[in-house]
Amino acid sequence: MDKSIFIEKLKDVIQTEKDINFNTELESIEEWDSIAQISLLAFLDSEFNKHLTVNDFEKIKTVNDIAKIAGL
Amino acid sequence: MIKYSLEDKIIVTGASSGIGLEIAHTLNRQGATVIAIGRNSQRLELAKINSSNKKHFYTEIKDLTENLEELPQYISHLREKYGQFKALVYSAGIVELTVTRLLDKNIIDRIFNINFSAPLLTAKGFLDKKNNIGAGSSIVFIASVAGVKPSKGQIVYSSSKAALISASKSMSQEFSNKKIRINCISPAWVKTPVLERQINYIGVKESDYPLGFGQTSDVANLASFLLSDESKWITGQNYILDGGGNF
Ligand SMILES: NC(=O)c1ccc[n+]([C@@H]2O[C@H](COP(=O)([O-])OP(=O)(O)OC[C@H]3O[C@@H](n4cnc5c(N)ncnc54)[C@H](OP(=O)(O)O)[C@@H]3O)[C@@H](O)[C@H]2O)c1
Repeated sequence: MDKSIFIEKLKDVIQTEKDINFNTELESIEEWDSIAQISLLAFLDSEFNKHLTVNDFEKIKTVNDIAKIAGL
Repeated sequence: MIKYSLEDKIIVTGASSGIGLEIAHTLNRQGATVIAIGRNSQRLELAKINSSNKKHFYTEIKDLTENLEELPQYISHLREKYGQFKALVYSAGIVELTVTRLLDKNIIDRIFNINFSAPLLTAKGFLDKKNNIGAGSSIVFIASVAGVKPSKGQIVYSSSKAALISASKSMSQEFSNKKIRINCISPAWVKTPVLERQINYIGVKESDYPLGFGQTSDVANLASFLLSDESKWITGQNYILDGGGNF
């Protein structure tokens, strides 16, 4: 998936209008709440066939961490 | 202990893994002839190898959502092959996270097809007079606590199970005068491959369960009871198994 498309999709998943890039810290996104987290899991599962563990999840801090999991 | 005879032919869907597998093994060990349905031929073969009475553990490879329309005929076809059935256990199913923002028709169809439409149409085939033994026949659907008490991320899954529970109650009323019984079992988290996957997602904790996570045998023991004549006064019920978690 093209990186800019990925960012657009991710914004949709998190439901944020904020300008985000690969360095954005997830905690800095106001909409990063428990539903956004479940949405991210569902997104990684359905789009990239990646099943995360709780431990993996705790390590995700930035958009780049998500991109790495997605294999971008 | 509950005992079945080889004359008791029982169809188990989802028999290649998890809860369905355990139910198939339990019924077979208790003496029944089991017709084990699943998609994955290797897992089904393994299920047969590990069964206590292999000669009476038959496997049928079938994708139940491939052609929903013909499911009732499929059951008739199985009856021609094996004879009339005493019972049906429907345990095939999928668990997928669903949230409003990622909803689309595909995901709704995918989950409802296997968790709701297929069990109903399989039951239709089983309940065809020609296909079951009449009085004493019984169906158990494996639903879920999510069908009664949904949590976040389960929009479609929980509604597919709620729909199944509701349908089975109505169906049970159609058949009670024929002494055919239909019940649901709604487990909370049971240790199966599904749990392994989901636990990762939502961080379910065993400490939420005073009696621990469920074992597949906890579900199988109840299923066996509900299919047997020991439970002849029970129909139209949904049993919640939640290890004291009060979900
Ligand atoms: N585990 C739990 O904690 C839990 C809790 C509540 C309710 N449940 C319910 O219990 C049931 C069984 O779950 P489980 O934990 O045993 O899951 P599982 O280990 O993943 O087994 C699912 C079974 O369903 C079969 N299946 C899936 N899609 C199918 C299809 N299209 N056609 C035919 N067979 C299909 C699979 O066959 P293949 O092996 O061939 O793929 C497998 O045998 C499900 O309905 C689930 O919703 C489970």
